[in-house]
Amino acid sequence: MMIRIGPKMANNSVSHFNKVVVTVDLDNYLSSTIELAAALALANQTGLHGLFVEDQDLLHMAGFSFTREVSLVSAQSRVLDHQQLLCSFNARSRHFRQSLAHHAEQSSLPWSYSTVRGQKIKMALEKSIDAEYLIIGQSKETRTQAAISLSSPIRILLMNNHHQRLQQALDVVVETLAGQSIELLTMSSNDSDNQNIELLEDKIKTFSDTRITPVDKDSLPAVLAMQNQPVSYVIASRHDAEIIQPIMQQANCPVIVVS
Amino acid sequence: MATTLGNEQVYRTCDLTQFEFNTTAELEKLTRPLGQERALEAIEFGVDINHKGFHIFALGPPGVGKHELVDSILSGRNTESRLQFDWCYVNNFDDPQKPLLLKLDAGMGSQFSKDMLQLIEDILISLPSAFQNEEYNSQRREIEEAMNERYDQAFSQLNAEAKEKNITLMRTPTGFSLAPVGDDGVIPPEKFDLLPREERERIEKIVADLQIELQAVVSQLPLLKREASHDIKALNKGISRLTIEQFVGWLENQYRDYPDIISYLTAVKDFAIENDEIFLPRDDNPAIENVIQTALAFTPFRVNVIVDNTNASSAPLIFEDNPTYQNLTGRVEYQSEMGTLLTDLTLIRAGALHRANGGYLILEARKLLSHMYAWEGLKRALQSGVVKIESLQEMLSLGSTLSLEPESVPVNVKVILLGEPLLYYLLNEYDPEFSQLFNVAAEFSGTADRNPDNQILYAKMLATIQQRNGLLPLDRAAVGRVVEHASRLAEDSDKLSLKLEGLSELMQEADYWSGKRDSKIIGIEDIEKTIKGQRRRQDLIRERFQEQITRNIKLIDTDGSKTAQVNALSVLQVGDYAFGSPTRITATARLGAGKVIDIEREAKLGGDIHSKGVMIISAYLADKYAREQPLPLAASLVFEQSYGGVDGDSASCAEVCVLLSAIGKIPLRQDLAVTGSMNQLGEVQAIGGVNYKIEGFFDICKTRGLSGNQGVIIPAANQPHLMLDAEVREAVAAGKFHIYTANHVEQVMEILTGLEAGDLDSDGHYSEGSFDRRICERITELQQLHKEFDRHDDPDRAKDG
Repeated sequence: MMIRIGPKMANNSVSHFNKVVVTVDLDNYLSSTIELAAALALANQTGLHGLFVEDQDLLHMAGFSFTREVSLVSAQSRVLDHQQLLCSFNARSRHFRQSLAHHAEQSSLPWSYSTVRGQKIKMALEKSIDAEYLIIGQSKETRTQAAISLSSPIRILLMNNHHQRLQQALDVVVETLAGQSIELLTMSSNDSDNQNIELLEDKIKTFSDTRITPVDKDSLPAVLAMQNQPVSYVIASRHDAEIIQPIMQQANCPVIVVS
Repeated sequence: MATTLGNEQVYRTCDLTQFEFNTTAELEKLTRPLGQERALEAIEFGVDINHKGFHIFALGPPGVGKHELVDSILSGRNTESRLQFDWCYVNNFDDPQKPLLLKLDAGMGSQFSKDMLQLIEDILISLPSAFQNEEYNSQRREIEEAMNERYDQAFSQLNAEAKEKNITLMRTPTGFSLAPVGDDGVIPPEKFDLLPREERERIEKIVADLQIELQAVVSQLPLLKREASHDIKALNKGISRLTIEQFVGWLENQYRDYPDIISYLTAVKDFAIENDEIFLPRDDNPAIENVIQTALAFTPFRVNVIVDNTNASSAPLIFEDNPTYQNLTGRVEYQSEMGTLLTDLTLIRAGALHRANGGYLILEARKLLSHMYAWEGLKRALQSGVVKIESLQEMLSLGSTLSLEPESVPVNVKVILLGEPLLYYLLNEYDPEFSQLFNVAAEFSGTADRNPDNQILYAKMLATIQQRNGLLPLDRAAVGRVVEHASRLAEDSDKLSLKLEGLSELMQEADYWSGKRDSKIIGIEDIEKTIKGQRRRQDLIRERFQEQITRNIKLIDTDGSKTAQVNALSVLQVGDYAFGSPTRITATARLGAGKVIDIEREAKLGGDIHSKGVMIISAYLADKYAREQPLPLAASLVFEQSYGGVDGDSASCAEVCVLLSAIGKIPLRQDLAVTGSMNQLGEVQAIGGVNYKIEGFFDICKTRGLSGNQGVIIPAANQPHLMLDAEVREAVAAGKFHIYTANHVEQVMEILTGLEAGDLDSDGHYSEGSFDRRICERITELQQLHKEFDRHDDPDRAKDG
């Protein structure tokens, strides 16, 4: 793993450095994910770390003589070239780094950057073990972006509301959506969660057009698959590792994992 | 018999007793112009007649008030019967290069323009809102989701099938790929190679088959997107149609009685629906800050009212003082954007013909003819009855740039051209189309008869000018003096000059002098001072001329007698200032072949009319003195110290006298000057500028000292033209200067020589002592000499003789 340290680090006295890690790979790169990460870092007065994952599976795939890449534009198949793939990784990584630096410096945040090779979710969880927040960029570019109605609520999935940091993450997300109506989907696993939901309800009542909809664990895949009402953010706890792994696979939006 | 004129015969004083007013303030304004009845009738006729080709040419000398008269007649006409219209250009949605013309009732143009602007504003505000409507978004989302669902379904099926066969579908930088997968992701190639060959081949086949399926799925994407795009477009059009039709419908109802507008609005509606995206916020302009400014930029929907008759209470009366081609027929202007010249229908500008449509257009013929193609453009419009707006470049096929071709405007306009008679006659002669178009000639007179009635009307005309210009009133004597001055300007004591140009200035200047002496009335002294002042200001050149004579640089005798030398008189015109000056003419006579040599002509300094005069003199001499004998005479005539050319025949009398003096060796009086033309019979004919000529010789004599014998001989026919200066009149009255009138050159010779003309006796001899006798004797001598010469030249013939 190669670690690059941004210019702010040396002079900055933030005690909890690199407590927000944002992870993207070739497939999942969105500027809004970095913006969200920067907002979280700013809210926590902590450093920002960018982690670019060079997908190991793709490299393996390029190693086969029989695999072909089917172009999304022309539907023509062609050889998946190993070198070309590496070039693409480099280009995307460089772009991600520039964008990260831009957002971090805009908010005067210390930042660092690293590239790692492996499987994205696995590597992200592994490399961010000390981080307070991990944001994983997720999107499926094959889909046509649906028209977003101003009157349609932004859906946020909040899983197991028993942690203060979860609420902090929620606050930041809600802040970035100022002025828009929000539908908060909450999944609780115990009674204390229910009590928290009541508290949360009181808290976010201050936002106009905000409603809370409880969902259960079994209906999660269906909720995430709803295309006419897509989930825009997932906020989950690292402790729910057995739940968040499949969610990460399925989600088509930034996933915020709280330690 | 020559006549000596008295003081009262050289000037016609205005009889002030006929004026029953003290000052012009008591007089009412002149309602009908003085002396222009003929022009007035012609203009009224020309204006009334409503047939093609009856346009008016008002011809007359400059400054007689043609424009004012035409203007006053047309302004005062009841023109309610003529319907007025507004003319507008709107976009032609089928061919934007050719804007369409709309003819609307007066006042409707600007209203329609405002309504169209409001329509754009309404659409600009309402359409984006319609697209933000939840129902619209929901429908759009449904379309997009349906597409995504179909796509996802295809992918899911493929993914599931792949998963079942332990194959994974992965996103690559530009597409998708398939690979065998194990428990820990994609099998590394080195591990794969360790698999049995059959297994590898099986997996490879599965991947190859799935790849074909993948290609089929991916290739559906553009089709699905296109389908969805069509559906979204149809949805958008539906929303746009609903919004646009609502607003356009309101306008269609407002203008339901105007088929042209309805047809235009239909085109507007179709275009707006088809191009609805132009009303929506763009990436480079996400929010419309100023709707009005934005609306103004929507030129295809704008209405260009080129003629707005909203406030017109009568038919338009347009005077175009700069009648260029484009000022007459209109123009398409351009504006520069990033170095490129661009235009649109809002830059179409009306010409004078458009503005005068349904009314009258007054133009000055000289200016019209001096502007390139303006006359051609006017004729074409009047002949065709339409005005086409095109640039000269286009008309002459000089430019190849793309421009607008606005629809031609039908015109019904009465054109009144103002010009000098010469222009009228030249156009009539050389332009066959002129007479087809300008059938009404309104001829303005430069003068009016000076009779008591007209003198009173003239006083009223002065009152009109005085009151219109807010000047001090003129008293009776001042009016009388102006009347006399008008006669002087007309160069006829029986006429009044109708030149209004100059008269206003005269009165304004007199008003100034009157004010200077704190008077409330303009008196005769103010008029006199003005006339003298005006002359004084332009007098330098006359003084210089006179100085040349008084210093004997230019030789003119004003006393004594001399043979073969006479004082003739000429008029010099410098701009609008004229003055008279004497010129010495000398002659020589000798034996010759009966030819009078005009030296001016030989030197190419003499004009045709002067040459004609000399030929008349030759004929007169031959007829009178050598009717039955040859005239063996060679004579020559010259205007001494003349270097600028001579024309006219007003010196004929002087020339015949100086020739007779040279032939008969008879001295002529040098204290007299002669002017007048003559015919072959010796009759003296009238000439022009008689007053200037007399005053010119008088000034020289006065400077040198009046002897009491000095004077001028003029044609008797010119006596009514005399309106001499007060100084000359005083000298005449005092017997110090004499004005003689003559009807025949014999009378002129009698005065100049002091000898009588002879009576012819039965033997064909003139009476003893007459100048004719002396001339005949000299001619007889010349004839004898001629015979002797003949004998010397031809002895045989002499013997026979």
